[in-house]
Amino acid sequence: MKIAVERSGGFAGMTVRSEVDTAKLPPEEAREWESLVAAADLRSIAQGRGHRGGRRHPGMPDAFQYDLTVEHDGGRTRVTAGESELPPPAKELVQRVIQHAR
Amino acid sequence: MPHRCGLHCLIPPHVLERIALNGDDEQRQWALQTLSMDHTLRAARLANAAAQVTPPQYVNVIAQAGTGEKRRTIYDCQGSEQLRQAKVVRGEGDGPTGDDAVNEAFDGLGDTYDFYYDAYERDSIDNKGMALNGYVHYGQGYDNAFWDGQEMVFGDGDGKIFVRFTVSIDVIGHELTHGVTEKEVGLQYFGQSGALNESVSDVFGSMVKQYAKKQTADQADWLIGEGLLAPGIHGRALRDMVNPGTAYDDPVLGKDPQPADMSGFVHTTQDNGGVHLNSGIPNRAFALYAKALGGHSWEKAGLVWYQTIRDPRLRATAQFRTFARATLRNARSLFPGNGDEITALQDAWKQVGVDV
Repeated sequence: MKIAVERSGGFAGMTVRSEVDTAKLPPEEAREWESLVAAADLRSIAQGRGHRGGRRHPGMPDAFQYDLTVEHDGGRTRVTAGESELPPPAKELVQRVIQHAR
Repeated sequence: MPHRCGLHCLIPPHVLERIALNGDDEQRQWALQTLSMDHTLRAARLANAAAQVTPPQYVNVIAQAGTGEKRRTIYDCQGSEQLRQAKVVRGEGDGPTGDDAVNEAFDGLGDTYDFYYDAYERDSIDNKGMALNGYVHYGQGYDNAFWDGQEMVFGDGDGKIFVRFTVSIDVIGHELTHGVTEKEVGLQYFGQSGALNESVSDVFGSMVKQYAKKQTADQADWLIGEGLLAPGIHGRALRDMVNPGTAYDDPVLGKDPQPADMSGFVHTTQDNGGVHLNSGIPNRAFALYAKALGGHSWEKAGLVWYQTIRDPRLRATAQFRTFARATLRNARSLFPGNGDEITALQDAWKQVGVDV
């Protein structure tokens, strides 16, 4: 499973890219990432926003914009949302990916 | 209907203001009298702007109107991202605490309030004395500050790239101005209208700093976020309004990506369509205009921008060109004739590649 996060915007307007490839991690750690992704329930977020990838709503001033892509078993899920629009499990996921890559 | 309540009861204040600014002497007198009935400072300000002098009959209005009282509250999030759990650490009338972030937020909100009140007789974000709430220590090493529609939120920074976001007064002015923009024109936070929203926050944020330091346009550094980059990062600030694209150049951060004119306009889906990137273009137009006029930025160039965001004809979806034309329209209302206030503005927009 590949989990990619692109964080853009914010007051500074700087873009940060981070990625986790679970194939390169010990099995236990990989399973932990998979359960984080499952908890984040990205498909329902994408459907709830009524789009796939593109942005529809104007954002909240200076909030971060997250672009999250998960590739797994040949499938691909992508969510683009402002930080306040992400439910806590999805926010947890993007923050963990950024911390992991540092 | 009482006899004394005539047509003026039906005419909204912004229309009266237009008449006060653009009408002939008789119309102006009528509009000003009507406006003065609500005893607002703004009416008096318009009277001054229109007549270029202080008419004696409006001196009392200036003396009476407006309270100019700030209502600040600083909350400590204590590292949480849940604003509702934050605790109050400093309110209006309280002395400094031992926490720099708390005191900087408190003072920065005060400077921003004073700037808007003294320069434009604006009574807080909504012009109705709205309470100013600042939240500090938001999140863990949070590299950001934002306006959530009701309050200003400041992170501590990670200490490696950014220090705490309260350290720059223009950041505080920037966030509060998002509230002002939202209450006035409500520029949509996406694409060109979003870049204008961002630029308006930088323009007024920079002027808050200039006002607090009593600087003229030539003395100002026109930097946004000076002091915000952590020690060791190669950069002067986050943005440079006079020379967009030159604020930083660092192995970790990369190079400041802001374009300085329309030839470098960035098309992207990131950052709500590049709102923090393309804002460099209108930022530079403003800085060039203010520097060309000289003196205090807020007195002429800032007044034109302020009237523009309050212009009922400016739409929430405004693009660079429509905004630029609105600045010209408002400059012509404020400064009749074809003086420097007009030609310098046309020249500034031309230099950044925006047709007016």
